[in-house]
Amino acid sequence: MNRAETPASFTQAWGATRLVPFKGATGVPYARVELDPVTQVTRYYDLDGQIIKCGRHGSNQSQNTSNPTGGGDGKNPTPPDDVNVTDYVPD
Amino acid sequence: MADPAVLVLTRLDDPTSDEVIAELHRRGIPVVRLDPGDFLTGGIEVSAWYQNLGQLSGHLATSSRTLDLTNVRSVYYRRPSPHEPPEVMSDDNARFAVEQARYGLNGLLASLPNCRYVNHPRHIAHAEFKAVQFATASAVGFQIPATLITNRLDDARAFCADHGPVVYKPLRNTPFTATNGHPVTIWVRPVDPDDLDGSITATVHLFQAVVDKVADVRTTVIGDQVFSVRIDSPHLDWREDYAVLTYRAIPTPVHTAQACRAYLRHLGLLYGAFDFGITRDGEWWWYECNPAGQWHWLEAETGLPMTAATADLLEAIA
Repeated sequence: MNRAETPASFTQAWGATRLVPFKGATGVPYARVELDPVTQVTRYYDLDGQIIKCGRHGSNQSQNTSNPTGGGDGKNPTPPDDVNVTDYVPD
Repeated sequence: MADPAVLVLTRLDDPTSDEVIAELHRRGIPVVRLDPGDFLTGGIEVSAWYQNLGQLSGHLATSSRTLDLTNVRSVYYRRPSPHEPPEVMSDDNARFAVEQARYGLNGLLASLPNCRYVNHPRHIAHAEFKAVQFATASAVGFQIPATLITNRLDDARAFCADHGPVVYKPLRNTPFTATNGHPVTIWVRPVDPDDLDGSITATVHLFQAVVDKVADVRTTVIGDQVFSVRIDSPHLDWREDYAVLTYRAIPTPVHTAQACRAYLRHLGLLYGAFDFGITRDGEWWWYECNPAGQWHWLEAETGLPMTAATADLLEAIA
């Protein structure tokens, strides 16, 4: 460490210098989601209002966004699974 | 009393939960799906009474279901959203409302009577600390790569010299957005020791010796059932690019399955997603255990009956 460097003088921790973009498809492959009141399963709709099979046993693209590290976009971000914050009540 | 319900706490766009809910619905088990993160923006009503020596009665209503809080057979806790305050609230008021919701609603949902939790949120939170994971993994006999947790530059450099090649792994992921608005993340990649600098001291970092692996394995334990899938990837971290992965269901060595079960028992978990690297000699090196990870895409790739196993666990009366 240089003399001017103290832990509080860095604008970014070293680990954050290792950020890279996601590969492949980002963004969610649906326009709207809605809960089916009867089955409690989510319905996914495309821009035309058609129901699409999404994030289930679908294409590679839809799987990509539903995988543990799936992406998102700035407007409608889907937090990657292991990035989601677990909310809990501490002891 | 009505047939007890399964309460699924998750986001609206969670495909893993969709699979489980669809299966429970096929089985005729009542399901209530709820994202506690929606609570402060409306649509969820709750009242709970404690009387007669603290005995609970109460109910919770969503737009489509009413739940008797004393008649829940199990909770599937699949990474629900954090509480979001209404935009019209000032910071102080928002923090107040959020904390009341966390301690009030989440507290209630974490203490339902005679209810099985897959997994209990407090146990999930505990099991997400890397140090807890290392202690537990070592206690149950997993082989663990040499690891350093530090904010000292000298120790990071010495570790790289002694154990190179070395990778860096965050101790906890947080969302990051690049200046172009796109999300960015940190993959497990080798560290060039020349890249290390004083900003190591800005917070705690985790370094780990690279395992000389030929492939990775994801072992998903659901109740008593153990599902292992070999994952072949050109990347050190297979999560980098799902499009290039190949999957194959493989048997789990008996001692590994036993160690996985012991690990979960130790941390009070009924579900866990274990990551291993396997060497040319067939040794399994333990990396981590995610107590709340997704698995449905592995079922789609391999046909392993993981949805049924999860539904079995949630259906059984605790």
